[in-house]
Amino acid sequence: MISPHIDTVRETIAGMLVARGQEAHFGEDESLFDSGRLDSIAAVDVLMTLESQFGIDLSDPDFDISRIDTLQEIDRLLMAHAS
Amino acid sequence: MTSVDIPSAPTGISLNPLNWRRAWLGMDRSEAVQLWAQTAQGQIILHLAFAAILFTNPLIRTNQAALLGIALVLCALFPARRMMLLSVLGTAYFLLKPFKQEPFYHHFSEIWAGIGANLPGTVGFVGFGLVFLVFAFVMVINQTSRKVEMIARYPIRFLLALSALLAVATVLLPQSHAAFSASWIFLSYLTGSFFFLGYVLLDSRSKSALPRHQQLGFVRPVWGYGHVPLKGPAFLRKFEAKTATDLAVTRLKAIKLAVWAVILFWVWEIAFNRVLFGALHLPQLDTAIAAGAAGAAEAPAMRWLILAADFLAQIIIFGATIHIFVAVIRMLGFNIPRGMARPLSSRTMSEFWARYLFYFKEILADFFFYPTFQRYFKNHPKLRLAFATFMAAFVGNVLFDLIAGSPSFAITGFWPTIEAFYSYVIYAGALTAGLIWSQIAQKKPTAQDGWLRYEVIPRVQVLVFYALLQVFDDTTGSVPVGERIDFFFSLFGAAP
Repeated sequence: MISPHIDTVRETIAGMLVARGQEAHFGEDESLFDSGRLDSIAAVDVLMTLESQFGIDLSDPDFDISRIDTLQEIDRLLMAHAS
Repeated sequence: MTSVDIPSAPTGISLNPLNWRRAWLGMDRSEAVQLWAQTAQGQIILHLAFAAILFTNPLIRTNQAALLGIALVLCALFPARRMMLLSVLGTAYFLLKPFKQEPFYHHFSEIWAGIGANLPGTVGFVGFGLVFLVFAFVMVINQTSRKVEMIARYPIRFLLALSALLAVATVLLPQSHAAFSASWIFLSYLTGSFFFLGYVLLDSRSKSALPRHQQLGFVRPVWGYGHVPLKGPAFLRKFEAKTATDLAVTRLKAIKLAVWAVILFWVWEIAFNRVLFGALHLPQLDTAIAAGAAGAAEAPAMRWLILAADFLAQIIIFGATIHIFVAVIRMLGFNIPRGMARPLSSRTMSEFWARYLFYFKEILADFFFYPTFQRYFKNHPKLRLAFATFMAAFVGNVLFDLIAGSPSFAITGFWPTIEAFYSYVIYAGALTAGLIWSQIAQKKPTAQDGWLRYEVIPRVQVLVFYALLQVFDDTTGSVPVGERIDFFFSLFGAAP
């Protein structure tokens, strides 16, 4: 099952990659932050997008940043939030 | 970005060394080389070559190289049991070598002798180490069972509070008291493994968490000689080679990185140690600072030269060190990112920080930045980012070294240990200010700004900033902070 919003996130991340001089293409299970492809500023932008556009509450101490390391993981997070 | 973009390898034989270099850098992308690396002969040659690099690398002690050698052989023979083997070897390493600083071993010996045991100190290490591993195991279990909810929700805060409590006990209790010995020993075990255990605890929430008993082997992984963990076991599993081709590529990358580490080491040794600081008698930074305080009067230009040489030497030797350990982990079958990737090419301060100290930056981000960012000032984006950066680059940065050094309170005294950090507090404060400015206000240069404003000026600004920080990057207290401040101003012609 795919979140209807995942394309928005994909475009946001692709834009970040291009802004950092990299190819816009990335795999759905490709590590974005742990691998160093994107820096912590980009992670902050993704977190703020998840908060502001999708209403995800990140203040839960159990929220782990590694849960947004790949597009697949972000998708799972969005689906879990939607349900 | 921590990977190096490498043009594809050329075909055919060439006498041009640049083509050899290109072929070497691109070998992990060559299908023929990948296939060869999967053969028995290829695997043996790669491992022998890697072992030769490991055992002849002065940055790795012989004992450490032997342990790593055992790990490499076992993981090569039983790749499917890689994590279990590393866990067993990591546990053995932790039990035999629990502390991070040599003075702690001396102090432990004194305590051990006082206990009245005629047994060798190793027996003590193993015994106390097992007790600590039981504590770590209970912590790991609590992360999933959540019997003590507060600790499960805030495990790092709990470890921090426990460390602080033990440190206070070692300061207040007389050293002849049995409770002092118990507190100091537990403090030394805890602070020596603090962020390693922290990652294990954070990872135990992960879907790719190892079985609980195996996680204990990463309280001190076999490559964990330094203070900085290269993240935790769940991170490793993410980069673990899944196929024979993946493994071949990962090993080829390991060889490349290990060779690069050797090159960097010898550049540092010959160009800096033997020529610049040796034959040409250029003083090293701390020597120059102390000499300046004693009345030596070099021209500011000479002081800038000393600073630049020290800064470059530091980058090169740190690169050589982190690369060899990342190479080991790659050779074991985990294609993790490099710990340093072209820091001199950085155009912003935050970019340099990530390129220069990737894994240290990750620790500060994982334990301090993200938890703060997620919870505080959510309605004030700039303040939110600035506060999270402050918590990571200043609070986390200082705490990282203070935690590791806290057993020293009982050895060198509380205030002398704290005074040794004065200079580092200035370093962390200036770094924090630079990073906050870089993240909030610094315009990221683009190619449209022109060659000078894109290629040159931003890089010079970044390098000058970090070179100047180098004056204060010290937690040993070997040179008083006042002398460092005087040296700093003397760079701009202001005589002390």
